[in-house]
This record gives sequence, structure tokens and C-alpha cells, in this order.
Amino acid sequence: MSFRVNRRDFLRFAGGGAAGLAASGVTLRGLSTLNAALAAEEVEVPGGPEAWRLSVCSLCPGGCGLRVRTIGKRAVKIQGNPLHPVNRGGLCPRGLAGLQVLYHPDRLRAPQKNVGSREAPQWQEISWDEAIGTLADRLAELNRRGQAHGVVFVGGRCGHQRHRLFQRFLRAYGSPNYLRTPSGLDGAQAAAYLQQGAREGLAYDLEGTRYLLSFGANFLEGWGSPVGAMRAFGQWRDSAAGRRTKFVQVEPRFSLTAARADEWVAVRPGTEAALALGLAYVLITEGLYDARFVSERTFGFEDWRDAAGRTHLGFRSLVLTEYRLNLVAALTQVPVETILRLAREFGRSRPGLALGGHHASTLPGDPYTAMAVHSLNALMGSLETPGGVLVRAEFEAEEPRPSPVRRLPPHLLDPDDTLLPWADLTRLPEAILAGKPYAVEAVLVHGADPVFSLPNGEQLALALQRVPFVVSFASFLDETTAQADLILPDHTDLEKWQEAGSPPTFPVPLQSLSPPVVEPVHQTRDAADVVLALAHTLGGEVAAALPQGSFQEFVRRQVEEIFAAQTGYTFTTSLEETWNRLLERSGWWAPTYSTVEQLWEQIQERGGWWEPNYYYGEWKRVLRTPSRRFEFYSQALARWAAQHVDQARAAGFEPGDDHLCLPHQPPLPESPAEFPLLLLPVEVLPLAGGDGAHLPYLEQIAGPHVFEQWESWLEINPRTAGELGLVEGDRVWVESPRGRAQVRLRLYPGVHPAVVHLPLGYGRTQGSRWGRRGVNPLGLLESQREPVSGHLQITRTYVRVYRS
Amino acid sequence: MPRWGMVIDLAKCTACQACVVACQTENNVPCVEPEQAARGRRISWLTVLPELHGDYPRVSMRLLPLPCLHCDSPPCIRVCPVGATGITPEGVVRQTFARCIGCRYCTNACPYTRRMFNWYRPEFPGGLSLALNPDVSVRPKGVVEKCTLCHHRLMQARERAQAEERPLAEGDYLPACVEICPATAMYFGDLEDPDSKVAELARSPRAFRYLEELGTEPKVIYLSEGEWTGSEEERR
Amino acid sequence: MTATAATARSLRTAGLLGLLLAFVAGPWLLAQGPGGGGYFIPGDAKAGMKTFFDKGCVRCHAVLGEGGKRAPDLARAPSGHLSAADLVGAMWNHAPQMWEKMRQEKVPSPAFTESEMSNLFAFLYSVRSMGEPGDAERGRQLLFEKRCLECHAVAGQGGRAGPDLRDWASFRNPVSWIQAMWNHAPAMQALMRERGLPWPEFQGNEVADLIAYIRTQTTGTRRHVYLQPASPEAGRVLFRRKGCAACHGLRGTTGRAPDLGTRALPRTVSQFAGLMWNHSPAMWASMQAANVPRPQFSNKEMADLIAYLFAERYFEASGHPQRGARVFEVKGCGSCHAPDGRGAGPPLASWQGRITPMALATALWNHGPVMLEQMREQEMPWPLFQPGEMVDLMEFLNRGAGATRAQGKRP
Repeated sequence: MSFRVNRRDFLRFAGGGAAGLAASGVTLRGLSTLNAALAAEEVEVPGGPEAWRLSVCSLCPGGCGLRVRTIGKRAVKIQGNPLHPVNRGGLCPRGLAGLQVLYHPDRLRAPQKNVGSREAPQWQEISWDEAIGTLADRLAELNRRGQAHGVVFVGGRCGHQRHRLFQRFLRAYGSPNYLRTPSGLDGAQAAAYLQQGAREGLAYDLEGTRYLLSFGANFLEGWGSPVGAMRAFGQWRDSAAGRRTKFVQVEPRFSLTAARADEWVAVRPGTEAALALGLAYVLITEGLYDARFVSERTFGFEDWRDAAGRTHLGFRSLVLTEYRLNLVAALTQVPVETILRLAREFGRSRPGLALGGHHASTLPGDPYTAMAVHSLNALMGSLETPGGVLVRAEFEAEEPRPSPVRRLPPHLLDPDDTLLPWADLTRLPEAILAGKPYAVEAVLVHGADPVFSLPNGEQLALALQRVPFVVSFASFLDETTAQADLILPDHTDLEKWQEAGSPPTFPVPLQSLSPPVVEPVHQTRDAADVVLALAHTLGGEVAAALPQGSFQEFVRRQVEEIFAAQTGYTFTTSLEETWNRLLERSGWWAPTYSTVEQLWEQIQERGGWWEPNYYYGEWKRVLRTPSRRFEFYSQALARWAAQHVDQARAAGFEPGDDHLCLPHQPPLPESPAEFPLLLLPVEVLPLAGGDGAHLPYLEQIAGPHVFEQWESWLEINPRTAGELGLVEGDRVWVESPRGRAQVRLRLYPGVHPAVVHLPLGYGRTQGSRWGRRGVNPLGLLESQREPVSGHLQITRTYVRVYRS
Repeated sequence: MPRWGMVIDLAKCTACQACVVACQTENNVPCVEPEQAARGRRISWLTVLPELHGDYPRVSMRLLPLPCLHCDSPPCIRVCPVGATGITPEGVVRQTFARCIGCRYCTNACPYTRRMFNWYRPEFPGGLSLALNPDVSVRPKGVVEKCTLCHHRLMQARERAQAEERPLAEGDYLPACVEICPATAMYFGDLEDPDSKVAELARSPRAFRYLEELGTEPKVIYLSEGEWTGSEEERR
Repeated sequence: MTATAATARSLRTAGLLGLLLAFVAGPWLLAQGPGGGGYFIPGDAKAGMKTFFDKGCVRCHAVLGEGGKRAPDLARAPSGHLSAADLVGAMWNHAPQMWEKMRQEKVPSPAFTESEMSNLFAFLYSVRSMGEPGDAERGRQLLFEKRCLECHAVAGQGGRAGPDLRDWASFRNPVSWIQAMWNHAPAMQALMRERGLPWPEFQGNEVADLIAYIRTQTTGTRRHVYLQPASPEAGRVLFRRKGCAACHGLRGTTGRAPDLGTRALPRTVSQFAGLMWNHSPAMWASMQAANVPRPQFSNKEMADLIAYLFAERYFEASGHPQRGARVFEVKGCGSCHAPDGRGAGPPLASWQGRITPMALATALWNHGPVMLEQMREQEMPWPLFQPGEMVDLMEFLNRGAGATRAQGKRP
């Protein structure tokens, strides 16, 4: 593709949607500002000794290593840690904005209690002693009343060790209800569980792959470990590498990821599964799939007969009869020639990878779509190969067992009864409101703002009003914190011992760890230290489970466990790593340390420790399905259906319908006449995870493709806008059955004519001076549970748009 | 004498804008308030410029990271009535803030719109001034500012090299944007040195200079997107 | 870098073979020196890897699968053990093809210093003896073919007489396997005799394949077990203390059992494991006959011992000057490198006492293309060297005999 741009075009682009840069509004009035300029107060920039310190970014789950420049006691620049295996010195704009988190004018500065009501909170600053005392008294009281299990801890974005600490605290205290915020990768993880029996989540060898088919994963805008993905992207296209990995983005919208891909396949919204199965059709009929892998390592490809003698539908028959190309093309709006070409390219470029089941970094996609996409990986034999799909391996030190071993009551959300064996936070509001199986007596929230970021956040806000005691560890007064009775403000990243485990989609064990970079700016405390103090105040089993005096001691213990494991290396240059990898592959381990003390120091000097080798082909570990194979036909789904006949029937599957267990295209919703346009929320990198609108650095770069900043915008196809009589920049109402909101219209030719998009991350009502603009699309979306997996779906809401 | 230049590989750029924020934090560029930003008064020495073509579903977009291109023949310099801007012997187009009278002739003359006027007194509300970089002055209201190729970093790199009694080596001096790029799409170095990475890339058939026909002779050189040329099996 | 510095650095950082090489460069062997019967390889393996990357070798060549795919994987090809001199010979033989390809593909060919070449050699030696992970699929077949499953189970499937081999899945190092096999071999032999089973033999990379398969049987619950870098010096002590030296010779010293310093021994540690396995019954029988007690080894001891044996092999049995003279003559070296300096090439007498494999490799690399061009013009064929010839030639040249002999022959 070639661009010829003349100066006039250029000014059109550069001028863009903004009212005009200086170029278009020049007057000589500037001269009159001369005196003002000279009279302007100088901004004082104090000096001091320069130092560089390491830390870890926690503004997304990506876990990049940071290198922070300090002048005196101030942090003045964040850069990437060049030794860190995740980011190797690079960083995304979110990581850079960490300084604005640290020095933000609207941070919560000290513990506070709500002396007003939930509806009209009045905040009063209190001392830390009082704050911890209040919480400890409350928890002790609940324990005395035998209601300890009624305490829920919501853990969000924080490092692996903090999660461990909070979870251990909660278990020792007597509650199993540790809940984590949902991740967009949960869709792919569902496929991994249903088809591979693996609970660890999938990892991908992005650097090694030759062809990447992404079904709606916002690969360059917050997916997985964003900087890791960008680094791989740079490597695919490095001219010195000699070959280029093809990256195909299948997505209804021309996102920045689609714009940067080698090819964008504009698919009708919600039909990604059909397209994946259409590709499978070509791979199978043209014999392009890995027949050996399919016969040796998969289950349910051919029709098969069970022990009772009943014949079941196999993946091949399903695809060949129900996903013929003309049908798929009609459904997906992707031409037959394109499907044929993509399938042939994918079939001939090995190793290849398919990603899917992802909507945004906090919003998982549909599990059947994820299964359809993951089936492509199995067809191509891309499991457990370099450049293929792997299963994450986290360094897990054994959790100390509480003594005496305490039997905890059943989990509030009973994850054993649902298809996927992990607790889904979106079920919390229902459980609270129903008071079943037992009443929720207290909710503690750390590193998350679920009222703002959950699709059913509004319902959670209602539910929290029923909870007698809500505690927040937030750094800002966010939507959830506004519901709290007690705020115990946490340090920000650079003020505390910072750590992170292996980030999502990263295949090997890793532990980042760094001491604080600067002294705390305000009267805040590390939530981990607060929980330890709480444990000691509560005494008994809780104190015994967490004897460490500080989080530093807690992580020191982890380092001792790493030392004892006798594997892995502290971070080092990529050259040294290659050497270590060569040695390790042959069974030799040459650590750069010989004592725990040395390891402890080296980890701090270099940023962390990891195991650089992935061991391919540990089939016993990565295939834990009943068949010990990759299951096109998921027996976990079959088992669930047998136990949940009514639910299956409600989902449209009569008993014995094999479709329930196979990847398939879920039915599409119909647009009601009065709401003609599908509203899909989109994620942009600066506001990935729905967070960042309070940081000016990120706000101003949020919507470059539509020249938008600081505000929500509604993306619409210019033709659709024309039909509605709307023009660029109009203030419009966007109305769903749930409500309406006012927003500025941006015409963008990358939008499907039947769809409008709103970016996630806008529309806070609380907190920072800068975050309260725009509209939260989640407030307009009707979320429905996908009947089999129970996932909340947010991609089925229709709206109308009209001028305000 | 070196001639500093930058190469931006558009094939590798992910349009993440880390360079934009890195530049801003490094150079103490204030964030203007939303209302002012809406009037086009945001200051950003480096922006990622989108160029959008076509209609759904045949849309294409080029995203161009655009710093000052440090032209060898810069139109902005000729129009300055007070000599507040010039080009250093090493090829950096510089701005002397103290001499600038804010007439904005140069902002008009720059065909790339890479010069920005300070309409307001710089504000760093709350504690944000604590994050200011002591190596870079904060520009007052009423002057024009622009990319310096992080000149202060060159000074520091020279001093370090001097202290270590060695010549400046490739990679000692990198502007903040180049250093941060997560996809390593940006390269920086001495265009005079034929063995430098930038010189090598500048000779690539993919290399082009932006709006070259204006005769500005930029020292920021782009490498065009390139295309996927088929699977290895097909090529064999 | 001095040899001692190299030793210190390698000791700190490198793995088994880094240590081996440090050892080779260390004082114990320096005493032997050139002419004293060996060409040693001073150098730092890890620095050699840096050279391998920096000079762009890695763009075409891979080592153990890491790197370019256009040229042979230098850790695997050629497949047997190569001494330093033979490696120079292989490089020499292959050079014209490589230069031609580099010319076609416009790959630059940067010059090497001798120390860079030494490091590169050290690196290549190291990775060559590490060996690559085997082929798990082939390993699975071997379990059946070699009838292992009649006594052993793997993940519960198979015989019950021996231990379940999955218990070994976490052992990442072939040395751990050698050690376990060595210690249990007599008991196993007895059991196999009882059951009338033949002693299976493993060829080539079969042990690596077997290990690779067993490794994949891990359930992920047990951590991988590695060995830490071994000490050849400790191995040398063990070799005598455990009584190995009573039977086995090293480099020509006579013994009842096979010489463990010869080039005939295999290239990689896992191949060595196979060899020990294959000979185990015979060795055990002769040990019993000679009333030699069977020593037991710990993991670390076995690693040290093997490190010692592998270090030994870097020393070539010294070349033979007479044979070298013949090589010089047959290959026609003298027609250019005339001793009186009248040939197209420089006389080689000045190299007397200075020829090491690294010096030769460096000269070949840096000046080879010019030499090849001149030979083409004179329509001379590029001479090829058989294994062993290069070391003879080097010995010949080192003794300065290049001058005298050639003069005698061609007045």
C-alpha cells in the first residue's frame, strides 16, 4: 500500500478535528504576550543527586520492569528495565504515566471513614491506628459471631505475592471468598480448560510464530502483556530478521490493531466463530491440517461411538456439514475467496497461531468462539511447539497449611457447580442481593474498581448498599471506594516493595521484585503491610499464618523458596540468557549466586528472577482432559450438560445434542426495530483496563484516529451518520433500553455500518478532577449471561442515536 | 563532526504513543487543560499523525510518529525576525526561548506543524511539579518551543564519555522517544558515520523523507511499511 | 585476557564446559604446551558466544537450534567429536562454499582476531558436547523396541519389576541418568538374566531421545532437577581415587580397559551415557574377574568425572611431523608457500612454534578469500583435509620443518 500525501492533504490530517493548530489561527497578538512571557514566574525545578532505581509497573497485568530516575527524593522519569524479560527496556505510554499516578493532586492522602451515609458520604480523616483498629474490631466481631466466611476480599491488579498474602490472610481468618477481577483472557482460558483441561491459562510463543490470526483480540491495545506483544510485533517486522510474520486481524472495527496488521478482515460482529470454523473447513477439505497431531493428540475429530454404543458428532463432520464456505461467507460477510486465501496461507505458514475469545482486557469474549479459534491451533498442530500455543507455568511455592487444618465453609459463589471452576466476580452482586448461600458481612476491595469496570457494576453498587461493612484500599476515590465505610489508601507503585509474577500469556515462571523508589508522598500505607498488621492484631491462627513483620519479609521468604528450588536465573542480558538457555537445555544450571543473600541482592539489582526455558511437549501437564488429549469434543461440557439438563435446555440444547460440546457459532441477536444499531464498547491502549482517564498524559493521546482527547466519543460509519442526518462533531444521544447518554459523534470509516462504538474508561462520577468526563458504555449495555458458561456478555445491546 | 538523525521504521511502529509521553515527561511539557486542548493548544513535540483513507471495509491508515524533522534546509529559521532559532553545526534545529518574541512566524513556516506556541503559563498542579526534569527548563508563556532531540542528553553523554576518557559511542546518546520504543521502531545516531545503524537504514530502499518535495531535507527518515511476501513454503 | 583471568571468569560464570575450558587453559595443562604433545584451547566459551552473535555467524548458522537456518547447525554438524585441529580442517574444507554463498547473499565477512577465534572455538566445543535435547517421539518407540517396558513402567503403564521411569522425568541432565544406571546396573543385570532378557544397546542419540520422552511425562508437580557446573579437577582426583585409573588409560597410557582419552569416544554427554550403558555388562564381568570393587558415584561425582574425561579430549594426541610433511606435499601447499618466498603465498617457516588451531583458523578466515581467488586464477584445486591430517600438518609446520623438508624436495 502506498501513500501519496500532498501538503494540502497533510494539513487536513494534521489540522484534524481540533479547532486548528497554531498554524490556522495566527495573529500578531502573540507579540503582546511578550511582556507577559518575560514576567512569567519561573518554575522552580529543584536539583539533587541523580540515581536510577528499579521497580515494576502495575498499571496493567503486563508486569513490565521499570527503571526510574530520581533526583534527590523525587522520581522524575520512568523508563523500561533493559534486563527485564517482559519488556527489555521498552514501555507503553501507560507505564510512563506512572509519575502522574505518584504525584497526582487528587490522591487519597490518609485513612478516612465515612461519617455520613452511603448515599451522602462524608469523609473524615482518621489515624492509621484507628483505621486498622476499626477493621480489626469488625473482623474479630464477625469471627466471634461465626460469620467470618461472610467476608469477601476482591483482589484486582497487584502482584502475585500480594494476591498470595491476601488470600492466605483470608483463609486463615476463615473465609474462602477471595475473588479476582475478570480478565479478557478468561475466554481463552475457558477454551484451555474445556479443551485441554488446563487451569493455568494459555501462553503464546509470539516471537517464534510465523502467522498470527487474531479473532478480535486487541493485540496491540492492551492484550495480554501489551509491551510483550509490541516487542514481538517489532521483531516480526525487523528488516534484519529476513522474514516477516504475517499478522491478520479479524474484527468488525478497523481498530489501531487492525490498522497495524498486515491484513484486516472486516467480519460481521459476533460471527468470529463461524469464520474460524470456515477456515477449519478449508484446512480439512484441502488436507492442510496436521493429520498426525490430530490423530495422535486429539479427541472428537472424527465421529465416535461411546461406551453405550451411541454415535457422536465429530469436529470434522460438524465443520463439513454446517460450515460450508457459502454459508460462512453469507453469515460473516467475508468473501469466499478471502476465506480460502487466509486458510491456505495459515495452513502453509508454520508455526501459526490463532488468538480469540477476548473482547477487552477486563471483558472476556464468548467461550464457544474461543473454542472455535483454539481448535484451529489444534488442527495445525500448534500446541506445544515453538511459535505455538503453550500452557503457562507459574512458580508456585507451596502454601503453608494452617494448623490445625481448618475446614472452610463452601465458597459463596460455588464455583464447583458452574461449568468453569473459578469464581466469577460478576456473580457477587446476585449472591449479595439473594443473601444465599449466606449473608455477605463485609467486602474488602484492593486494586480494583468493580463498580466502574464490571458489566453489572450498577448492580454491584446496589448490592454493596446491603453489605454492612465495605473497605477500600484504593489510591483514588473511585466509584467503588465511594461506597465504602472505610478507606485505607494504598501506596502507589513507586512507593512500595513492588513485585509481579509471570504476566498473562507468558509461558515461563518469573518473579519481578524491587524495593521502593521514593518515600511515600502522603500518609498512605502498603495494603500488604496493613493486612499483616491486621493479622497480628487479630492474633491466633491468622497471626500464625502470617508471622512476617512486613511485606518485605514476606517476599524475602519467596526468594528463599526460589533459592531452594535450584533452578532459574536472575535477569540478565539476552546474550547471557542464550548461554544459560543452552546450558539449561542440556541439564546444566550455572547460577550467578550461591547463597540466599546473593540471590536477594541480585534480584534487587537486576529486577527479578525467572526460568528462561519452556519445556515443550509435557503432554501430561498440558493435556489434562478425561481423554488426555486435546478435545474438539469437550467432555467437561458433556459432564456439565448431564448434570444441568434444564440449564442446557434453556440454552437451546436438548439432551444428547453434541453441539453443546463442540465449538460452534452461537446464535446472533436480532436488532429490534426501534434500536437499529449494535453498541460495542472498545478498548484503547491509553485507557486499557478501563483505567487511566484521570491521568492527563493518557487522556491526551486516547483517540488519535478520531482526533479526540479528554472526552468520550461515539464512533459511527460516515454513511450511517449520513442516513441519520448527523455530521461530525454533533452532540448526540445514544440510547439503549437501559438508558441514554450524551456524547460527541465522530465519523470514522473503520466502523461497521450497523454498529456504533464507545470507548471504555470514561464516565467516572468520582475521584480525580480529570477523570470525570464522558460516558461509561457499561452503563448503557445490557449484560446477559451466556447460558452455558455463565459469562456475562456485553456484545448484544442495540441502541439508537439521535441529535440532542 | 556528527550529523544527528533519526530513522523511524513504520513497519515496526505499533502506534502506541509511548514516544509521545516519553518526550513529554523528559522535556517538562505541561498538559494543558481539556478546554484548551479542544482549541488545538495542546503542546506535543512529537505526535502520532493518522492518515486515513478509504471506506468500510476497505480502509487503510498510516500512523506517522512525527517529531521535528530537523531539516537541513529548515523553512522555520529563515522567517524568525529576531534570530531566536537556528541550526547547530551538528544539524539540530534549535530554539532559544529567551530570545523568542512569540510572533509565531516559525510555527506558520514549518510545513510539518512541529513548532508549538505557549498560550498559557505552564501549570503542574498539585505534586506534578515534583516530576519535573532538572535538565530541561520550563518554557514561559508566550514563546515557541519544539523538539530539541533531547539536546541535554547529548551534553550528559558527552560529559560521561569525557569522564571515562573515550569517544562518544553509538547508543550513548538517545532521545527519550527512541529509548522507550517498545517495538524498537526508532533508531538514532550519526548519519555521517557510514557504519552507524541509522546510516545503514537510511540507505534502505524503503527509506523516504516526509514531504521531500518541499526541499526541506529532513534528517528524520522513515522506512515505509513493506508487505508480507508469502509463507516460506510458498516462497520455496 | 590472561589464561588465569579467563579461568577466573569462566569459573564464575560458565557452565560445565566453560569450566572445562578454563581448566584446559589452566596451569596444570599449560605445562604441556605445543610441541609438548597437545594443542590446547584457551578461551572463554561465553565470550565466544558473544563473538558468534556479534560477527553475524548466527545469522546463517545455528547452535542447538538457536540462530539462522541457512547454514549447518555448528553444534550438531559434523556429528562426531572433533578436535580443534579437525575443526579447522572442517572449516577449511567447507570454506570455499561458504564464501561463495556469503558473496551471493551479500553477507559481510568481518575479520577475527586470534583471541576472538579462540573464544569462538571454546564456545563451539562447549555446545558440541552438551548435545541437543532428543526426539521424544523416537524415545517413546525405543521404550518398546528395547523392551524397557517389560520391567519398567512409564506413568503407570508397563512392567513392575523396575522403578516407574516417570520418577526420573524431572532429571534434566543425562549425567543424572548415567549415575543412576551405573549404580544400579549390577542389580539390573542380574534381574535381566533371571528373566532371560537381552542387554539392550543404545546407539547415537538414542539415550537423549529416551530421556526426552521420559521428560515429557512430568505432571508438572515436581521441579526440574539440574546439575551445577562440574569440576574437572575434582574429576581427575576421582578418576584415581575410585580406581578407574587402575584399568582405564588416558591418552596412550596403557590400561586393561579402553583408553578414555581417545577421539573415538562420542561427542555428547548423552552419547557417552549410551556407551557406558552398552559396555556395562562387559565391564562388570571383567571387573569381577579382576576382583575390582565397583565404585559408587554421587550425581556430582559422576558430573565431575565426565567433566574430566571431556576436558581430556580437547587435547589432540600430538601430530606427527613426518606424516605432516607428507600432507604438505600431497596437498601441494608448497607450490605457493614456497620456502624461499618465491611462491604466491608467504613462506610458512616463520610460523614455526606459533601454530595453534586458532592461529590457523584466524589466518584462514581473514586471508582465505584472497588465497582462494589466487588459486582459482592459477587453476589450482582447493585442497581438502581428512580428519587427523590437519594436526599432522600443524605439527610439521610448528617444527619449522616446512622450510627444510620442502627445500630438500624442491630445489
